[in-house]
Amino acid sequence: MTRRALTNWLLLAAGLVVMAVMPALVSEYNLNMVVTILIYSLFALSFNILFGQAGLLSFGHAAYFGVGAYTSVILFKMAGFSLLPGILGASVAGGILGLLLGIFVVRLNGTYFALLTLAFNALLYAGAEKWRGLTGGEDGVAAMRPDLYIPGLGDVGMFSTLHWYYFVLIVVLLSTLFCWHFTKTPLGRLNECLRENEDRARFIGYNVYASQVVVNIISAFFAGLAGGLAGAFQEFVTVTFINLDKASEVLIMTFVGGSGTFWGPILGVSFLTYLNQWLSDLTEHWTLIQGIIFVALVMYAPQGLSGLLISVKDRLLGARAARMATAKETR
Amino acid sequence: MLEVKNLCKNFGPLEIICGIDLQVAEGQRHAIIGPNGAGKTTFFNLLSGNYKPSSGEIYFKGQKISNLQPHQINRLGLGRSFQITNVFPGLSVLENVRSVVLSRHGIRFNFFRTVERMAAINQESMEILEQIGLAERAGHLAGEMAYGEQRALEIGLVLASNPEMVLLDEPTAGMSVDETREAVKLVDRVTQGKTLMIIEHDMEVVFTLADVITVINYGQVLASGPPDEIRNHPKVKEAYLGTGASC
Repeated sequence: MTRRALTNWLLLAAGLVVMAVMPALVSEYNLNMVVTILIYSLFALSFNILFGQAGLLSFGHAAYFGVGAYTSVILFKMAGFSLLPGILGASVAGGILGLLLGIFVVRLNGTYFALLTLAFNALLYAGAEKWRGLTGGEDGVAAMRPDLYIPGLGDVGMFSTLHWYYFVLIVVLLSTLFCWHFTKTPLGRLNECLRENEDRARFIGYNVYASQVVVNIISAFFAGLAGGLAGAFQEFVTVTFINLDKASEVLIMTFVGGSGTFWGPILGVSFLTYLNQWLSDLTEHWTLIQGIIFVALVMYAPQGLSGLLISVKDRLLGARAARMATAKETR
Repeated sequence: MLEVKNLCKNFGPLEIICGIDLQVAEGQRHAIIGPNGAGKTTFFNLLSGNYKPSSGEIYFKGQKISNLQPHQINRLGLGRSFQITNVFPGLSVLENVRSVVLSRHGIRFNFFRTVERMAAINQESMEILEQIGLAERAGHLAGEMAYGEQRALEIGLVLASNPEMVLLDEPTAGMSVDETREAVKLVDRVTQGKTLMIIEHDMEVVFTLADVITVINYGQVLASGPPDEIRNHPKVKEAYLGTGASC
């Protein structure tokens, strides 16, 4: 194992330990903030499968998130689903929507892709607002968070913040693990080939369109899962889960964290969520400060916080390695 | 191996290719030459499925391919390179080649197994890098390599799909004399046993590599035959060789 791999594993292990003992470290109020960070991290990761890895900028990712949230809450309320089937239903709903919209949106690139995703998101938002019988319109739908049924153990109550935290942690960790693994698989690698040069991929035997539809489904599945968790967390869902603010929120969080690395979106979500919490205690104009940070990053650090961290690390640790590399090249 | 029948392509009123008939036998090394704007690259774009013909037909191994998509044509065993380097710049050299090898083995939608663990795929990819002389560059980003190396990778991407027929669009474009010599050796070596069709401006290259030369001018076949016949063809001399300083 190289030294770098060892460092990464140690960092990961330390992170897992911190997450495992988190409830002992922070107040219940802050534990809820950590749950929010976990859920939105998953949302941002799913967004980055398209944005960072596939190079497709979606302005409408809230469509999948919102449909997931509505699905879980409606399944809890109207069909009496327990927790896990409800969350799973949300992911499947997200995935199905990913297929239906993917058929249309991945035909296009760049600006047109962005505009079409925006249009579909606006359409679904309008649908959620008008279809009062199902969605409750602006009033939304509320449903208590159901128990988690585990075969052999019976029902585990989810009313306790502690139980709920561990449930979300496990679901998000497993999903993150899958998304990480995905980047190492043939389809995940192809996804990055398509970002780099979609045109060439056609001439080496790839059906670009079909591949991008599948990637869109995977991304939408996890966005739906994040939405399902968010619905269960709030025990309530309304049009703010599917509006364009939500779509831009995930975009900004991913951008601030940096789309060029796998963990950048998680960093962005953690940073902005914490910042919002902290600033909103100090001033009611915290969105202004958030906006300034966003603009500054776009202008001066387009690789986001993760890009900043990497360049700082390279400067501190990599100077020697860089010298060695140059020596090797000129040799 | 390849048969082109009365092929035409026009963009609006502009006729680029008008009535090309051509046959390429298996194992033949066929060069396409012609002045700038003669329609050579458009011809390749039609063969590889990038453009749809306005009329006429293309058959590859007896199968009609003029209505197929580029990826379908590639899977049948017709690979092409590009005049302007067309690689995956932000990925490593190994990954560039590996993406082709994966496709050739039909591993296109797998999202369960990691690529690192596919030993046979990685070994095959490394073998191709050895063939094109880039094995030591495996970990480098394709977009950060020297121009000559990128051109070699361009050929490597064609090679990796192990096509029965290879279309090379000016593999020596923009190269110095020395680089060109190396590139010709590379092309000669890696296309042994395959059917080759090559667009080339450098006459020395053409006469070294090809056993049949087709001259295209104004989207039509001006002449086609063995190198000696083409060299002495009066119409060709007039249209191309006579005025070309490269001869």
